[in-house]
Amino acid sequence: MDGKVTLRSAACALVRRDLRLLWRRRGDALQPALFAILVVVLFALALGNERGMLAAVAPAVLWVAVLLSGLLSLDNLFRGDAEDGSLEQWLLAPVPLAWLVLVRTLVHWATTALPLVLATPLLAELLGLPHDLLPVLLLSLALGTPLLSLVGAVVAALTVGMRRAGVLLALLALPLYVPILVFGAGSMSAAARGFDPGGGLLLLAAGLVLALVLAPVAAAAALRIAHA
Amino acid sequence: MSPLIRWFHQLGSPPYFDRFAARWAPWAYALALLTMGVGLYGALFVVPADYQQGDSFRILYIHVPSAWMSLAMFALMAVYGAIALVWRIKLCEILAMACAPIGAAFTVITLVTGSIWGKPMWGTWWDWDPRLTSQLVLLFLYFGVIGLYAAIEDCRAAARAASLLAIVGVVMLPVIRYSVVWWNSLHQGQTIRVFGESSMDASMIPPLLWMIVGTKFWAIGSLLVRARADNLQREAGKDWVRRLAGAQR
Amino acid sequence: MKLSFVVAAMTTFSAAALPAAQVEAADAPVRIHAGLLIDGTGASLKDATVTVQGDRIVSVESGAKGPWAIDLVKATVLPGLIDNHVHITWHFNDDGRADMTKTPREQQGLKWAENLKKTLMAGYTTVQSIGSADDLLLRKEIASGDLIGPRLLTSSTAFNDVKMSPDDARAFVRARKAEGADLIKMFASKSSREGGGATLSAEVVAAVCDEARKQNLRVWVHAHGDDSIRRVVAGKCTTVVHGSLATPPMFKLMADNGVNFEPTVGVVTQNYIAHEKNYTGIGNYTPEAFVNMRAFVKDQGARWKTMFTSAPRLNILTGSDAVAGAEGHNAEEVIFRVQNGWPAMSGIVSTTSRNAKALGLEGTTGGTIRIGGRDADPATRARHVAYLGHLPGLKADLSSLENLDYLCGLLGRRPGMAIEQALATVGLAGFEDAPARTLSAGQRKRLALARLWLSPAALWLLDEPYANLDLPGIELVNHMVRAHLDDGGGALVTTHGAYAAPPVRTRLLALGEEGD
Repeated sequence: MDGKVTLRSAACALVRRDLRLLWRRRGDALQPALFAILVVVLFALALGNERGMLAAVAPAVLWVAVLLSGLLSLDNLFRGDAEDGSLEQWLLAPVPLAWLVLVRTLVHWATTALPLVLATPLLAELLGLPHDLLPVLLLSLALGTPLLSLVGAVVAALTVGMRRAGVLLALLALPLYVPILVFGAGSMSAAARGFDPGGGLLLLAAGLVLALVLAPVAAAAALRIAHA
Repeated sequence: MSPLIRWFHQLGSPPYFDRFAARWAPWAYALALLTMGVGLYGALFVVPADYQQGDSFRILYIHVPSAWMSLAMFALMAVYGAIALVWRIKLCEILAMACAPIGAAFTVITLVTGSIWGKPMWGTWWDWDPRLTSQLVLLFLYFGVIGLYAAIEDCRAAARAASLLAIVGVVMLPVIRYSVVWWNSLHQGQTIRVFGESSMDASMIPPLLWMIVGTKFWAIGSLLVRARADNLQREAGKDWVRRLAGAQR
Repeated sequence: MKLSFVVAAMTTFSAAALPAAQVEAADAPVRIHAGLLIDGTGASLKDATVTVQGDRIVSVESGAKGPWAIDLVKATVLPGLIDNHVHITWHFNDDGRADMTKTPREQQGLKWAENLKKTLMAGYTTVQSIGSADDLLLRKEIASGDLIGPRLLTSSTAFNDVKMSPDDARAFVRARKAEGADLIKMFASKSSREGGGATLSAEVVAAVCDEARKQNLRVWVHAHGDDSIRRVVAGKCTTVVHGSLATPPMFKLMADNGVNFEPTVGVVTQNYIAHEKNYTGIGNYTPEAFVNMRAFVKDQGARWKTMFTSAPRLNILTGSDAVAGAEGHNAEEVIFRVQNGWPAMSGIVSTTSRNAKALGLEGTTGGTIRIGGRDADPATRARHVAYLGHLPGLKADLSSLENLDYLCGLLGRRPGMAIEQALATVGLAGFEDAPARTLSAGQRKRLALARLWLSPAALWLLDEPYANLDLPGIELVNHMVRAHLDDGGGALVTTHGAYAAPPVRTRLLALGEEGD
């Protein structure tokens, strides 16, 4: 390394930092997944022990559980960096702010949502989801959770100027999550009735491509507003 | 400088806007009351009852213009927001933020009238009709904008953040709308199509047009009054506001 | 370039250029043709057209751009004058005495209105009246346009209680803020008639000025002698007023610490002497005092020369301390100064733009950063600029090495400079693997300095780099800045204490209280 900053070197530095931080606080990293498991358990306890009923609502419950647990960790996306001054240095960095936002968001996804996606077979089993639906569920989550993170990044960036975002974060994020939930849970529900789930999945994929381009730009603009 | 551009620049000055709004808001309200009065009279007394829905369809004359305005205000908010973000015009921040509560109010009216209309039609106050559902999401988007504007202390940063949210919202609205329609088509079989594309009798149209014009004027009047109040609050302490407060003492 | 500068400068303190009542009617642009325009910042323009709209100057153009409403082709046009120090409520009662307690209540307001009008007609469109709660009422009436007068700023009641504790003094400042005062007036010394000795302890002076800073208020301090001026400077107050017994080192002290100086050499004493019979026998205006004043005023010219020549960087403001008898004679302060050697343009600048700035009436609203003549875009900025702010940008859970590794990856690194080397430079050798969490505040600051040291940028922006540092730390910063400058770099340093300023200084910008 000769000290010159490229897109790649900045991204590597950021990823290295985030992974180190995650490792130092590895206990916290599992919390979103634990939360999702708890939500599923609560649903099972509330709905009763009827296998068929649980299996019928399983796709919806799993999607909502994933969505809510993602919301929990959303506030941490930029807040820590805003509070200790890292964000000021991001603004000065010779790489586009949107690039750093994208890298940060993807690392955040990989460390909070990905473990959850990996834990879904377990959750699906708890709810008695038919096994043939599992690939569709995993695919819809694999496409949908990064989308949730990217849209969430815009909202998290908008609220970074506040001391505590609290419920407002959910109020801002959830309406924007509606299409993702609809296409994600919808493709599952279509598959459950024997229809082709491809439509919803393709729409999710299209949304993901768009969000990968647009969301970091919007989030970067929001961070600049908060730091004006 | 052309007179139009000059006028535009003048309007950007807070004292000028204050006088502009103070002068024209009453006119907008008066025109709104007049046109809505004419429209309501037509809607309630002139238009004949529907052969299927009886008198209950008359709520359409409030429901439909409100629904239009709820969407139009969001679009207007995003346009003002975009101008505010790009050219950093303070007045546009104020106007964008003034749009939110007005649009939210129209959305609430739309939801309430839709629900009242739904009772005799569906036999229930609420149905997950795609239009009502997307109106509900729209209401939450409005709440988000209002909440964000209120939550950030520095009012200029708050307005700029909320403007950005409005723009994101405007991009997302068609997606949300499409997703809800898609979702509805997925779960076919429960909905009753009330707001179908049934042709309207020619005699039913004029009051609707009056109401549509009336709600526009009402929105303009509210926008001026709200923006004026926000403008004065932001400028509080400036000489011209002190003078104004002194003059009205 | 020059012209746009003129416009920018004039719009800022033009608000009072027309009496408030006329402004209401002045919506249409009004063109004024000026034979000679002096802009108040030091520039002037022959044959200019000034366009005023509402309460703002919207343009200044070279040449006659008719049709104009007001033709001043044979006259010189200046911004409205500003007097930082008047006592607008002082007056002689009907017995001709300067004893305001004897004025019947119904006459009082009339006397005030007379003073306001005289001051306005003398060319003063903004005055700062110091020391009376009645000014609050006048300020409101003038602002509403109902009473004719210059725009008024006021301190309300002055701080003059030698028995107050620092905590009481802070409460006093907060009370003035709540009342709506624009500034705090404090008496830190006796009057020059009584020797001018310090009356307030350093602690109280510092408490008042610190609390005022927190409340966003300026502090104008009455101080005559060296002992009181030292306390005012140590307390980082805004402005020293009078200073008539100060020795030359005091002027340098004020200049070095960015404290404004507002001498009152041209009006106040002369006015007392001219109105001896109206004052003698009231309070400390004894016959002996008048003998002293006559002797004192003889050396006034020489005294003034010492003041403005002792320290070239001293920010000299203009206030007349016009009391009863002197209303409308405010400009004699500047006239006296110019007659005794001050350049005339200095007098005009001091009475207009410099006063406006000191009163917080002139604000900067925006700007752009250019590097090498081109707008600094985000992609190139980091190569040129390194910023060290209040927040160090360090992660508590990462070690010193890891933190620097990350920041260098993000912001770049000076070729050939190893991270360990930078850590050694800032005195953190041995702390390479310590998590930032375990470091003290001073050590964290040093870690942030190491990041700066590693930065490839030529220009350092350092916001309070000395905060949290002990003496060796302060020396380290100075050493680093020095080495950076020797290396051909530049540094912009903001600091509260001049004691910790870097050893090399090519330019010092002393900023006012309102840092916008």
